[in-house]
Amino acid sequence: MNKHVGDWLEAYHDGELRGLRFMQVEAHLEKCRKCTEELEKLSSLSALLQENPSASHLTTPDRFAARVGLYLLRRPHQSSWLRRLRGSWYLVPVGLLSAWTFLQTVMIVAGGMNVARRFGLGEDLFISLMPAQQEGIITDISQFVLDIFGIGGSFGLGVSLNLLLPAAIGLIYLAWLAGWWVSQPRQQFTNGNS
Amino acid sequence: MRSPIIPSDEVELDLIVQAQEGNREAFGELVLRYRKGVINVVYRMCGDVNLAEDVAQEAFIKAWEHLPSYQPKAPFRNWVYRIATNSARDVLRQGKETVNVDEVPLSNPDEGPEVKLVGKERAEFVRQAVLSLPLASRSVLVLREYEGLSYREISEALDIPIGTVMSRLNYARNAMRKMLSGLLEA
Repeated sequence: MNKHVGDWLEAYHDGELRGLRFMQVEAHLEKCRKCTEELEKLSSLSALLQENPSASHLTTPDRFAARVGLYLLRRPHQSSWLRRLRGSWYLVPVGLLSAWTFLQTVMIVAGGMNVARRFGLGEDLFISLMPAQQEGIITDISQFVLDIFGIGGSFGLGVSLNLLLPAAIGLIYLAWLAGWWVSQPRQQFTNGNS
Repeated sequence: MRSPIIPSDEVELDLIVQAQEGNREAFGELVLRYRKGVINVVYRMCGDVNLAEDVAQEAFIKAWEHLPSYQPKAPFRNWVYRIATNSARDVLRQGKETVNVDEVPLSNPDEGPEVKLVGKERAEFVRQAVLSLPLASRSVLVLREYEGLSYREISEALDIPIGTVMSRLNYARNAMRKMLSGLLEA
């Protein structure tokens, strides 16, 4: 059959050929009686197979659908926004960790700057790095940050922020952990008595 | 000769999304859409209408259970047919095959083309011949000849390469031609 198009005849019969291959088979069929007969046999087989009727005496569509419905396990209705919320729920610890890291970094840098300023070190270092016209603004901002987060800030505020913010982050994380624990499905244990 | 392409229209997509969110009514609509096709696929594979309905029902229940993981990359029809053919195979492998292949009255060469069966007898003869095929090639033949799926769709539905689809189809057709030679030559 290699000289013929036997390998591709079924694909041609099933409408699966395109482009050059399709044209090659068509051209071959025009001059090859054997392959044309083969194609006719395929068509005859398809026609004969269609004599096998489809399933009859079926349950009515509504009744069938109702029967299927009876066996469907109930799935909690979950809208798409709720699914998105569930997805972002697991990002909360990541956010908290990022916030804590940021806060610690700011406190360490501010503390270091404060100590350095007390000892008169690097007083002009940051200011010299800034553009001249922003010198005053930068000085004001750095002073404010140092007051808030620095070790020697005004009484109560700096110390409170140093303690309260990490504590708040810790509390939010614990609350998230509790929420996660509550939402987990639990296996029922029995003592074995029926 | 080209197999019909069923567009996964907007309405169907909406029904699928709603069903994925747990809406039973939307899933009921999908069941109504594909009920006949699924029952027929199973019927052609197992040859028993009642069994076909039961297996189709089981296939839809499985579809409901796995629906949240369904990605509408492939048409829903192919996905449901996949579940249906797998369910049919499971049932047939469990020994619930309703047709004893050894008793299938295949074409007798001695009878020659003179044998002329008519109407229901011909249909029954064809049905038995289809049922006598091995499961793997039977499912490919059913999806191609009766459901009009393309090679790619069959490949998706049965999770086999297109080359395997072609070879199984070729095997099934050759076997059918041998078995039904009496009717084909008549």
